[in-house]
This record gives sequence, structure tokens and C-alpha cells, in this order.
Amino acid sequence: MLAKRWPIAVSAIVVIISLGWLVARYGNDSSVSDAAEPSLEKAAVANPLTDPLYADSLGEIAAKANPENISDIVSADRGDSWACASCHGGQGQGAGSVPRLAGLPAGYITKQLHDYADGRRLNDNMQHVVSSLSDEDMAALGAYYSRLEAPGDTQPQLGGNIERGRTLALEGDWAIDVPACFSCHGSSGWGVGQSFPSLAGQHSSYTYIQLANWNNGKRNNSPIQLMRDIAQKLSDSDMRSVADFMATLSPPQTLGITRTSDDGSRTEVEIP
Amino acid sequence: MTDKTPYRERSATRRLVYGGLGAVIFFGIGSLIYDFGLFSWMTGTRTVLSESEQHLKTATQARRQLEEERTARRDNPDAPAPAQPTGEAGYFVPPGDEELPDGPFGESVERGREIFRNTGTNAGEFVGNDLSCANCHLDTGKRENSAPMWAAAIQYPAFRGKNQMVNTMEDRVNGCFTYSMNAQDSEHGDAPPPGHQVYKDLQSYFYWLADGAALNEDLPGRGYPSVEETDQGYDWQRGQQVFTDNCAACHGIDGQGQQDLNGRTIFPPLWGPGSYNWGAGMHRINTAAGFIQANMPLGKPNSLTDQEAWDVAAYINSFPRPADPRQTDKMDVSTADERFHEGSINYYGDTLHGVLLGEGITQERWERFLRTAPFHEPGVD
Ligand code: HEC
Ligand code: HEC
Repeated sequence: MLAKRWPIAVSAIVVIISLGWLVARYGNDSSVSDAAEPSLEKAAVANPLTDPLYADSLGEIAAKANPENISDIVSADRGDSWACASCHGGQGQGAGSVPRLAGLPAGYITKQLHDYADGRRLNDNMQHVVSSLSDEDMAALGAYYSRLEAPGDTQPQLGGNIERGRTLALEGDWAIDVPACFSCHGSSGWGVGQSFPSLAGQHSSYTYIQLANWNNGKRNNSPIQLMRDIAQKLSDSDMRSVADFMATLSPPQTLGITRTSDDGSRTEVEIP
Repeated sequence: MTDKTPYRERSATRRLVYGGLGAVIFFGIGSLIYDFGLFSWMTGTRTVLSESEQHLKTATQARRQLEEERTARRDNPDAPAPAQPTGEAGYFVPPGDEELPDGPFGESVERGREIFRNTGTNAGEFVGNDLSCANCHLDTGKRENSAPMWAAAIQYPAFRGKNQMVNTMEDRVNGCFTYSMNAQDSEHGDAPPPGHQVYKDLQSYFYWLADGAALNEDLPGRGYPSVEETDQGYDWQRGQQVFTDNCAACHGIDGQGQQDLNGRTIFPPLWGPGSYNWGAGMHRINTAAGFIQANMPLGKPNSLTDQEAWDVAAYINSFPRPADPRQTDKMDVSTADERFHEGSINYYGDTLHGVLLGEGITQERWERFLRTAPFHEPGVD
């Protein structure tokens, strides 16, 4: 009789193992949000008064920073500290899910480095990288990367609907309370001031992951929760579409353009 | 009997192997179906529509129905009058781009829309500040509760208390240029002259947007909603905190807005020389409170409480801005206050932050104000 029953026992074990595997695979989302829980609380108690203007004040600091002191951090591996260029490329151009840093606002970059350090933005690599950076390093890195110019060679890679992406970027989708992306990120997606990064010419996988991360709480750092609210209203295919559309555009070009510098003054940028 | 046991045992092992294989195969197929979202496709039910798709579907159907009912009535005069196209949220649905007519009228509509969107670029000689129509009428004049043009277009001509006369839509738009767009400081020095193409194009755009709406109907979503009065009333000093927390990230702590690398105003200035003047509707604290609560911060409508909306509306309207053009050199602020600002909720004629509000802005006055302004201007310590 026992001989007849052991297949049942084996099947039961198989079923249990499969269930375990299923939970491990698809239960992922909940474990991510669990992990993000403490940081959500932290952001809630972070000083709400200075928060919305955090990038502006960091931009002022970055404007005075000296980018020369950080050339080692940028390009030389020093034991446990990895060079930025090893992932972000020699021109800060990025690739795939590693973002282009070149031409992002100095205050914005500096803020992101602080956000990784303070756990308001979660990413194993970047959290490790910032652990060895001082406040001064972060400001200098912000200044350094904001002045670089990246080649515009990004391609849409997510199979998104480019026309839908264009509509979201230029018009928004007001039925779901999503304003045009460019009404905050600038008329050609080249960013505005210190708080609003350029989206044009960013790698589509990276852009998509950020929108998804605002949704699942891994990124919880936008002023007044502006981006969380927007990302929560976008469907997965909207995120792909808008990320792909951004990758069809050129990144900010500084040549021969009037530029608002870090201290707010506007100057004609010279062609070097 | 003796050869039965080995037969049975073999069969048990084999059954187990087959069973296991079967399970693995079914499991594989199952996860593939799950991963690629094929279940709904197999059962014939489309994937659940996203919220946006649901809205679009309802809107498209409403517009199509309007077209069908019009055709039916053309063929048969006894058919019922076409119903107004209404969307998911109960608001009027204006036509989409696919309904844009070819030919001169369609071209005029498109020009009107571009003027509306980007007034400084497309009707620049009549604009004396850094604003565009679309700054206060969101979604290019289509957003409900943001004074949408589809609701306004069917209300004119009408008598207006503000200028004590019957206003055509052209007169109404003339008022927008005169006050909200501060035309007195523009290259032309005044709103567009009567009959100007700018009026025609804007009116074409509005008329087209209102296609399918009944004349003189008070459509839901018209104008700005009014915010309930609160026990505490309004107070610009309380508003300062609301402003810092919710508005300054975009409009700047100094309220002067921000431009992008192309020199385009992305976040409009809320006071000072580049903003609307003291004759504009938005200088009324109740009007601003209604606009703000329903529309700001951008992407977060109705997130401010009534109290916060009142206070922050008071705050932005407590600073100097260009003079009311009706207050000419021969008329002082207190006379203008009596004549034009009595009976409305505003700070006109009050002295706040050391400035007589309404006296208008000169370079010298503005710089003097900035030196003592209650907000900290980044970069100027
Ligand atoms: C091991 C690879 C790696 C290294 C080394 C690295 N980064 Fe990153 N970085 C990433 C990845 C991946 C992301 C995207 C993470 C995410 O999704 O949040 C990122 C994101 C960033 C961002 C956010 C950009 C944005 O647009 O918001 C900044 C800023 C940044 N890195 C700066 C740096 C600097 C400065 C260094 C050197 C000190 C550095 N990184 C080193 C991989 C790396
Ligand atoms: C109301 C203003 C606003 C609107 C509208 C808006 N954004 Fe943003 N966005 C922001 C701000 C502020 C940040 C900076 C967040 C931070 O500090 O981390 C940001 C950051 C981002 C980033 C991160 C960029 C990076 O380098 O990591 C992405 C991606 C993004 N937005 C996409 C979008 C898309 C897509 C839309 C349109 C669907 C959109 N945004 C509309 C305000 C806005």
C-alpha cells in the first residue's frame, strides 16, 4: 500500500516547491515595497520646508564647488570605490539602465546623490558609490557632470508607442490628471532650473525604470511628490511609450544658447 | 501473482515520471500565458482598459454619437436634437484633432490654438508680460474648472458689469489682453485693435472647441469653482508657508517663475512686472483661490484645503504688480479703488510690505521692493 502512495507524497512536495518558487518570483513586488517602507517614513519626516527647494539650494553650493578635486572619483577605481566613468561612461553618457548624467542640472545631480545616501532613492550600486562621498564631493560631481555635453545617440528600445509618448510629453493626458511632461521639464525636454532634469536624450530603459520605481516606492524623492503622483497614473505601456519618445530626442545642447546659470544670471554660452 | 508486483511498481514510477513531466509542461505553458498576458486574449475578453483608455473610449463614443445624431436629423427633421457629448467625469467633450476641418477655417483654428498656447510668440506685439492664455486656462483651454473655452464660447455676447456694456467675444478677449496680458506694456501699447486677425483666430478656436454644446447653456466645469469661505478668513501671512511648501519649487521662492534653456517661460511669474496687472480677474483673492484649488500644484488638483487655497491666493496677490490701466495718470489709487475694486475681495489700495498696492511698477520701485521683500531670493543674501 505504501508503494502506491509515495508518488502522492512526491507530488505534494513538488507542488509546495513550485508554490514557493511562484511566491519568490511574483511576490517580488510586495517585498520591494516592504523594503521601501522605512524610507517612506523617513521622507515623510524629512524637513518639509526645505524639501521642495532642496535642488535649488544644492545648486547654489554646486556653483561654488571645484570640479578639479574630483577627477579621481570620476575616472579612477580606488579599491572599494568605483569610478563613476566605469558605469556612466567617460562623457557621462550612460547606457541602458545607467543614466546619462551629462547636462543634467548641478543641483539636481547633487540632490540625487544625497537622496541615495539618505535612502530616499534605492539602488544597490549607487548607494554603495555614495557611501564614500563627502557633501563637497557630491556638489563638485554635480558641477562637473552638469557641464558635460553628451552625444545624442539614444534609441527607443522598449517597443513603446512613440505617438502616445509624444502626446504625453507635449499635451499630457488630462483625463487622468497628467499634465504635459514638458510643462515642467522644459519646452524641448531639456530641463528647467535646478530641480527639473532634462528627459530628452535619456536612455529609454533608465527612464522607464524611474517611472516604475516611483510607482513601487523605490524612488521616493520628488519635491511635493510630483513625480510619484504622475507615475501612479500612468499605465505600464504609457511608461514605455513616453520613455521611448524621450530617447528619440536630442539631449540638451549648450552651444550658442542663452543659458540660465546656477546663480540665475543669463549668459550667452560661447562656442569653445 | 508473482509478475504482477514488478509490473505495478514499474507503472507507478512511470506514472510519476509522466505526471512530473506533464506538470512541468503545464507549468511552463501557464507561466508563459501569465507573462505575456495571453489569458484575456484566449478567453476573448480584452485586457481591462486602463483609466486613460476608458476615458478616451467614452469620449470618442460621445463625439461619434453626436455625428450620428446630426446625420439622422439632417435626414429626418423629426429626429431628436443631438445630445451634448459628455465624458466619463460628466464634462463636455470638445472635438479632437481628427475633427479639425481642412481649409481656411481649420487653419484659423490652428493659429488660434497656437496664440492661446504661446501668446508671447504668436501675438507678441500685444503682450506686455511673460504669460500665455494657457497659463490660466490649462490644457490649452480645454480643462474643466480651469475656465475652459468650450464653456465660454457659448456665453457671448453678454452684458458685463465690469465694463457696463454688452460684450462680444472679441470685447471679452480684448479685456484679457488689456488686463491679464498687461498689453499697456507691450510693443503695441494696447490690446489688438478691433477686428484684428488675432481675435478672429482665437474666436475660431473657441467656436470649434464648443462644437456640440448648446448656446447659453451653463456647462459643468465652466469658469473656476468657488471655494467656501472659511471661519478664519484669508491671510497672506499664513499663505507664505503654503506657498513655500507647494508652489515655490516651480514658481520660485520669489514668485518670478522660471524659463527653460530656449528662453521659453515654463513656470509663469505670479507677481511683479512680468505678471497680470491689477485689473485682471486673478487679482481677486476668491478667483485665484478657486483656480488654485482646482488646478495647482500642477498634476495635483484639489490637494489644497479651502483654508490653504484662500491663504496662498492672498499671498500671491499681496505683492506689487503692473497698474490697473483704468487708473490713468489723472486718477489716484484710492479713487480707482472706489471706482473699480469696491465690492470685490482684494488687497488693492492696501499698503503691504511697505508698498501701496495698485500704484504700479517702475524699475526703481520694483528694486526698492525687492530689497525689503519678505521672501528670501536665492542667490541674493
Ligand atoms: C556600478 C555602476 C555605477 C557606478 C560606479 C556609478 N553609478 Fe551612478 N548610477 C548607476 C545606475 C545603475 C544608476 C540608476 C539607478 C537607479 O535606477 O536609481 C545610477 C544613477 C546615478 C544618478 C542619478 C541620475 C539621475 O538622472 O537621476 C547619479 C546622479 C549618479 N548615478 C551619479 C554617479 C556618480 C557621481 C558616480 C561616481 C561617484 C556614479 N554614479 C557611479 C550606476 C553606477
Ligand atoms: C509638475 C511637474 C512635473 C511634471 C508635469 C512632470 N515631471 Fe517629471 N519630474 C519633476 C521633478 C520635480 C523631477 C525631479 C525629481 C527629483 O528631484 O528626483 C522630475 C523627474 C523626472 C524623471 C527622473 C529623471 C532622471 O534623470 O532620473 C523622469 C524620468 C520624469 N520626471 C519623467 C516625467 C514624465 C514622463 C512626465 C510626463 C508624463 C513628467 N516627468 C512630468 C516634475 C514633473
